[in-house]
Amino acid sequence: MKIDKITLEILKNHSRAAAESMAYTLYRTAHSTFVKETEDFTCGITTPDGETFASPVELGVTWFVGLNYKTVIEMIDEYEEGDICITNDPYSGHVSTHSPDMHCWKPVFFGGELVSFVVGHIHNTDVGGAVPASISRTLSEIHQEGIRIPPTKIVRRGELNKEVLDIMLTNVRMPEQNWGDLKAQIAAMNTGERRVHEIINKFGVDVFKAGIQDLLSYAEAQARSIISDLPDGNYFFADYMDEDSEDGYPCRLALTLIISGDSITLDFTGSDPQIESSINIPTGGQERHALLMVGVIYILYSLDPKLFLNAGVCRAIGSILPEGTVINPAFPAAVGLRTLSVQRLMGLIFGAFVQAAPEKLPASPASGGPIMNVNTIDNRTGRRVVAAVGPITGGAGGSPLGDGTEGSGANSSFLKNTPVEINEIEVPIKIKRYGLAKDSGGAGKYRGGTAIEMWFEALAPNTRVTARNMDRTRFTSWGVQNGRAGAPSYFLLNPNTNAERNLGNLDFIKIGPGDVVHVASGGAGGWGNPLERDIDAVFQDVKRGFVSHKSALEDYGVVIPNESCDLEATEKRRSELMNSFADNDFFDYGVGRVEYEKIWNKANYDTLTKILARIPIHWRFFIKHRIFEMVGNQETRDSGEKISTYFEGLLTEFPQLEETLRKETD
Amino acid sequence: MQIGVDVGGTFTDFSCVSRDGKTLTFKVPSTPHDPSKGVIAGIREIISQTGIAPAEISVFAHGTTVATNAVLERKGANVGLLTTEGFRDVLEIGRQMRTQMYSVRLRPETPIFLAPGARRVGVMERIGSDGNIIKPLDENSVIRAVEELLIQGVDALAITFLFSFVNPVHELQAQEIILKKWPRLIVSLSSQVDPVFREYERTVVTAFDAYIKPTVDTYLSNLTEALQNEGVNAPLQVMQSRGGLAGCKTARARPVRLFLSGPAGGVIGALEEGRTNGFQNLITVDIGGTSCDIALINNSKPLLRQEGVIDTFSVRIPMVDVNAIGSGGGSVAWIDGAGGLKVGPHSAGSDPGPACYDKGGEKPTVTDASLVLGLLDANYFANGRLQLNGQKAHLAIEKYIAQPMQISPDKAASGIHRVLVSQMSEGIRSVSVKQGFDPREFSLMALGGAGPLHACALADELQITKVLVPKNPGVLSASGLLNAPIEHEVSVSFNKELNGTTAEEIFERLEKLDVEANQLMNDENADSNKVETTYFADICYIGQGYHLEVGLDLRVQRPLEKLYRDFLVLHDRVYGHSVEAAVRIVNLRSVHRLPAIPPISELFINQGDCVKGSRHVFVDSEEQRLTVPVIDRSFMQIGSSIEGPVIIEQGDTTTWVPRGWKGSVLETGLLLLIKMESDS
Amino acid sequence: MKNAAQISLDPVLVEVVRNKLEGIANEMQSTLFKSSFSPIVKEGLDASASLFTLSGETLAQAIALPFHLATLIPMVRKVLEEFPLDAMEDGDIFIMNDPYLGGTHLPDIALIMPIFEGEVPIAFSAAMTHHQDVGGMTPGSVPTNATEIFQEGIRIPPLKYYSRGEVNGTLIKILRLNVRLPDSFEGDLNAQVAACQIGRRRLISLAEKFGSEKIKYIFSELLDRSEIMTRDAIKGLPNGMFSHVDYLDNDGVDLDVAIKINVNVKIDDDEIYLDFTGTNKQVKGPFNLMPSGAYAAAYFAVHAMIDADVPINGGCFRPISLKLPERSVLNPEEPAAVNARTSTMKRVAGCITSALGKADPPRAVADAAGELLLLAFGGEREDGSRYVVGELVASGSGASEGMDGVDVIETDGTNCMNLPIEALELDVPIRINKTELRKGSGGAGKFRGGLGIIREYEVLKGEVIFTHRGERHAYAAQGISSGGAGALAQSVIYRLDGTTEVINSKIIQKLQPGDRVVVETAGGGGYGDIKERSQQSVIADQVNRKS
Repeated sequence: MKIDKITLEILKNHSRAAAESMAYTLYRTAHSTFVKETEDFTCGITTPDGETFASPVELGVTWFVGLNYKTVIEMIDEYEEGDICITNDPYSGHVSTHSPDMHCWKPVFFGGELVSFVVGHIHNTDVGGAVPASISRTLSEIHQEGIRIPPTKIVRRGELNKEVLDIMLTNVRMPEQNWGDLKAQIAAMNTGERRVHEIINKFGVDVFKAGIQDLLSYAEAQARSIISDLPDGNYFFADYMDEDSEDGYPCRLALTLIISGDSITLDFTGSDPQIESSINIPTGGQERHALLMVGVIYILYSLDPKLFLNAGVCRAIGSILPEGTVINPAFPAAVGLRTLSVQRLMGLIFGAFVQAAPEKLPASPASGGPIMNVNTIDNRTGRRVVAAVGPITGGAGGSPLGDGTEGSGANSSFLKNTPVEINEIEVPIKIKRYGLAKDSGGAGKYRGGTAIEMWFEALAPNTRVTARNMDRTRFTSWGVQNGRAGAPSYFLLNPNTNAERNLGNLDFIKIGPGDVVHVASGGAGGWGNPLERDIDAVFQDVKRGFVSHKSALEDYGVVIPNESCDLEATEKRRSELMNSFADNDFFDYGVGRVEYEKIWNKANYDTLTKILARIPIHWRFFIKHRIFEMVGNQETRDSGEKISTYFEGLLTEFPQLEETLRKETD
Repeated sequence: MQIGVDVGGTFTDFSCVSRDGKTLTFKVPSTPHDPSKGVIAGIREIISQTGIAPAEISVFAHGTTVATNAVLERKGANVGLLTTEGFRDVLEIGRQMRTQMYSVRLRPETPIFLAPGARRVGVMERIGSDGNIIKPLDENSVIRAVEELLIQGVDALAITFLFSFVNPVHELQAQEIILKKWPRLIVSLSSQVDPVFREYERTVVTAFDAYIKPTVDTYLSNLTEALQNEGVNAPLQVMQSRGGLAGCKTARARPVRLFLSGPAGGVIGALEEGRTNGFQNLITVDIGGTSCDIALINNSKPLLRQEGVIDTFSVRIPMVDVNAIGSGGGSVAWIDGAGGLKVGPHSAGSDPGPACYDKGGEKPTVTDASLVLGLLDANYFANGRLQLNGQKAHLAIEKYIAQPMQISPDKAASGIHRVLVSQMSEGIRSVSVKQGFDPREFSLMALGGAGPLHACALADELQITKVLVPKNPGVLSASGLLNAPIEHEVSVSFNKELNGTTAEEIFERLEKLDVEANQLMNDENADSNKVETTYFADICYIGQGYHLEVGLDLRVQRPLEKLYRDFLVLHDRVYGHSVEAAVRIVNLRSVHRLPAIPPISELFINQGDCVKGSRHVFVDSEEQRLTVPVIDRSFMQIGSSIEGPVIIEQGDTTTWVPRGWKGSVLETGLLLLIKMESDS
Repeated sequence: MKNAAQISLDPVLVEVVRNKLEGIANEMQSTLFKSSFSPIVKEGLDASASLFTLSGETLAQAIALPFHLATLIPMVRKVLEEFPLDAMEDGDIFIMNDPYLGGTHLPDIALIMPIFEGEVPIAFSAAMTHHQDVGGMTPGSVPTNATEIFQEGIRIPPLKYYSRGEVNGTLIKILRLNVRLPDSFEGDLNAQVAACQIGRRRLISLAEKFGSEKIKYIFSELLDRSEIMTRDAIKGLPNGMFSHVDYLDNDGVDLDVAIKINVNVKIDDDEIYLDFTGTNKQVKGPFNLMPSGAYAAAYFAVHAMIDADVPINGGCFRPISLKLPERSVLNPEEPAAVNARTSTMKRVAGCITSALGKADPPRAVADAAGELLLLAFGGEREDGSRYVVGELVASGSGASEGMDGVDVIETDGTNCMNLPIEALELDVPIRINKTELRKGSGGAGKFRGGLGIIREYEVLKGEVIFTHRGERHAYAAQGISSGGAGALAQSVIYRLDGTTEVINSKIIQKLQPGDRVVVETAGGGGYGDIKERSQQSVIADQVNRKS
């Protein structure tokens, strides 16, 4: 049966409301600071075969709109009323995307018929494993990332499965937190079930069943119309993460965005091989995996905010995911830190789309920044504390519509920060400064959003600090249309003392009382020529402390001798600069990347990609590193031949590899 | 006439079958200082008794303990050990494990006596794991080493260089150098004795080989000579530990394979006895004075083990799997600190022996209990060669068991048997369980002087329903020799993944082995087209440290696939599971065997009443003495049957058939005892 | 068992049943070895099967590693606490491994099965196996640098693995997911189940034959007998307080801090109290030892020292009690890491033996080096495949009246084989240049301590991560009755560039091709005055290059 538009609109609002009330329940009843304060959780309602048709827009992480529970739903033999299932295993169905994410789903029955699932996840602060908080870039296998629960009934016909609970809680560092959060999830599931029943009672089961399908098709239709407004074509973009392993080589993500008519294909060929640290993205080769969809959904949503967010959107999108690469790793690759790579992945997608809609889309957002965890004994209580003192995020990119939002925005805004007061109450640290970092936003007609910086002092001995997702110290956020790249991020120990240490991308340190940590995320990229920026805006920036006099003068050509702005001097300065101004490329990548690409240009990468695709997965990372070693710092002038010759060399060094290749060819 | 001679510690057993099937079996006392003397004495007796001409002796098969005794009595050579420089102590270090689990006062557990530190010298050379020469052999260091050893009176050399099983070149060179300078020196090369990886195990076998070589050599040459002097020109064949015969020449070349020569004969004998009567699966239980030997026979094949135990040292030679439990007729019964009744492991041996031997032994033994219970005839023990003293037995049990436990001597005596049986049955069970077999699927063959006495009780414990008592359980080892095949086994280390090799490659290696084996067969001028060739591969899962011997048939469709399947099956039997994982072939082995033509021996049975009397036997379960008929085995007619309780006596043993068991005599004269259905 | 009176007991039957029980335990044991997958069980014998009374006392145990002696007791107790007897059903099997609930370290997983004859519970059968990998931060689940239990693998609280003969599918799914070798893991678990089943089957037939009430009574009788014999043996020792102190080099994390083990043995007529007051507080590294482990070490040491031929069961343990100070290295508090507790167990056993020796000089034995040097080499083969080989190297045993110590042999609670040179070189690109007795390392004396070993390794290809977990680098094995101490262990890395690094007992280091490592394990202590050593022994030692 076909549902009329109005009914559908009401159904849509009800189901979104239902999802939101799940989120509120969870939010209110959750225990860990992490969930309460950073809202790292989701809730949703899906069709009987797992397509999410409703999720909250205002609460929780907005990453998992497209999440499809089909795979895990099928891993449970049979469902009965009152069951609740969980899993956190990235390799069982690829719904959970790293072990701290505990996913839940509950079948909703009506008149004995399974009509829907209510679903959701919580990021547990710790699920055991090698390091507190269970995540570190240095980990190399999933086995080190904490306990893994396969799809399992945690509640059977309304009765809690004590065994699974026991084994889970025995294996985590803060059992009462996990238990508390799990209880919150269960509560949320039950709320969801109740709300779905209410909806059905209101609309009748048939309308509901047909309606949720229509909602998906509706969203799909919306998505397709947005896409068809974009010019057809292939748009290539690449971006990097600073390191593919401890002091390793950069990790490259590459994307060819193919827009044709009302559908989109994301071809990730050219992305680096899966790596021996935990920033792999476990998509399991599912072409509509949530982690791939996020970026696209952001784009489509910003192109048309009327878009109803549900899995239907994804139907218009497909991807090509070469196996054994960082966006489709093989078991047992570690995945704990995929947050970092997914941030970069989104930026990557933005970079591709901005070429298709330059006048509509912004420059690169800061794309996240480190999430700081502290693990120590609290002198005041004598108890161990493991807490997230908050995400250190950066702003949104400048856009035709205006400056990027400061401090946080775009694809990292979903992580709420932890209030300083809560931090100092719950964690033995003293926060000396928490604010926006000067000169961090990329200059531009519309400036990139500034970065957040935090200074804090440890009060307890052997305080272990993890800076999850530390990155962007080398490859910064890009600006567009003559807008400049944002500033790099940094992580300093005891700054401005002679004990100062630049920790770079290090993501774990142990410090003692008196030690001071200064950490900042990267800034976002700017949009348009800074010399065209409104002079008063620059003046305000300087007064607010977002931009230094120096930068005002050099980047914006705005002269501020004292408390006021010298318009004539500025006029003069700007025209000078304008003359010497060479129209840049479409993108400004920032120094770090420009220097790097003198050595590793696209040609080199294309050759490398072809080579790696030929050899067995377990060889790729190794060979990549050997070739990078050989290339060293020599600038490249040829078009990839050198790389091939190096590889030939390696083949002679490793005859057994050559053999395997020969075997495969014949 | 065919003759099988088994030289044991106390007696030398003979089993002879003449052309017309007349059999003659008897014992003569062994002559430890030079066992060949005892053998010759026996030969003379045969000739005088049967009046045949020495030339008529067509087969002369021999089982000997000379190798084992050389070790037990430490009468071997003064061995010098040449090793790769830097590794001379491998022999003494061993695998660093201990068997004395719960002790803090430890004793060395490696056979250091074979070559103490002073007699172990390193030589400049090194071969890599891939067989490449890393450090060439330094001739002078060899000469210097040997000279140093000769000063210490070394008369035999063992040479074990690392990875000689991959590439023997250095060992061969060393041997050449040595023999050129000292032609008469005895040399054993590890690459020939046991070309398999694991340096300690290989060193031990090689050292043992050198250690017993002179002794075995002298003995066998003496014997050959003596036999020729007697006019016997049948080739001298010797039983090897794997259960096959080999010519004198081979035996002298590879003496280490003569360990367990005697017991191997026994197992083959039992096997044959069972097979001819249609029993393929046997557990043989040979209860003697001090110990109880157990062996399993599956589908008429003796179970082999890759590594045997000689005087507590494990030696890597394939041998018939004979396990000894430390309790027998001589085991002493005693009361522990908490008043518990114990039997063994201490044994009164044969001197002073059980109290009833009346040789000054005071302690009560299992045999004393048997006598008190009325199971033995004091005047007819071991053919009446030994008069037993019932009084002494009674006193011993009274004093040491009955009084302390405040029970009647009868109760005490049967108690001793019950404890013994409970120990033995557990021992037997664990032997079969370790091999992956359920004892209930086997028949129990009772051997040795005391075997048939306890057989039914053991069977009851093990839920075994058939017990077999051969006609001459005492000389089975000797008669076994006449049924044993001539066998030559040569193996080579292979070390390749199964799916990394091809049938062709394997076949190539085996062909080489066959050449060697054929040579050995020719030495015994065996009829080559009667020779059966079988191949084996030692296989293990990749990463496994232990392997299994699997038969390899190259004639089938996909030989390697079949090999793999068979491995899985065997692994499942022995280790209780098998997974389809990658496997490695460790060694290849070719076995050439020339089956014996078993002599058809006719059966001689006395005519007349077989019941020779009766005795009062105490039966615990019935709390009383019963009057039990005593039957003379030599009068039991074929097909005749009896029902327990009854005692069956014969020269070399006594069989106790309790209530609930019935017995019958088969065509071959074998006594078959069956548990009656009604009672179970 | 107050109904003792009614049961008239045939004394022979008690012995018959005892033999049966031993047989059953052994049959369980060989089933366990036979059907296990992992080499560590087959070669290292690191598994054991046993029977328990309903009150959780050991009824019979097959002899495996002495350190398995009694380590199951606390786990059986814990299970009984969580699942009371009357709640148990035929066909249930319980599983657990968590040290803080009674285990010793995570790889040791116990299965415990109640046995019923009809409705009547009669005993438990149990099997423990050291599993190859139970997850955690490093393959093999024994991370030398662990500082928390959470890094050491998956922790299993007491749970039903089987319920009324039905396997717990959910549980096995979770377990499989959290270990690196799920198949061999499950295989080994099944071997444990098989072992328990054997025990069940045979105990039931025993009960059917003699009646369950009767055999239960016999069980208690057997325990009492072993208790009596043990007490008699202890009576043989003089009353008094005897103490001994020894040290572990360090905890692998703080390399310059030794770990003190201090025992005061009080012999009081027929009882022994072992007081460990004064022992080190718990340490950062994984060398903490759970009480269960301390008890096992104690039972072993006492049993070995009184060395009367007492059938081993719970009765032997009754006269022995321990005091383990809280938060000490022998009674740590969660979440201390515990995976490397073997070294600690060995040292504890050594301390007790030495202390008891002081009570009974003629039976006294000098300190064994008790160093079981753990070496691990991890690297890449030429074909790029990764390897990790582990190697356990023994040291010298202690001398005693009439007996020199034994060279390079496993002592006290452990009993592991070394790795054949040819096996190692066939497997990985490492060459061994030397394997010899370490001349002069045995403690001097009328009877000499056992020698250590010298072994030299050379890296042939590729970078190697090298783990060295030694002992006796700082504290030597002491001699007695004026016998000399054994030589200290020492290990040195010789770099290709000519530089050398002395290893301080425990390190993890990178090695490059051409680098060599020479390890020399410690010698055992000597017994008696060297002047009294017989002339020919002195000469023999010279010609055989032992001193």
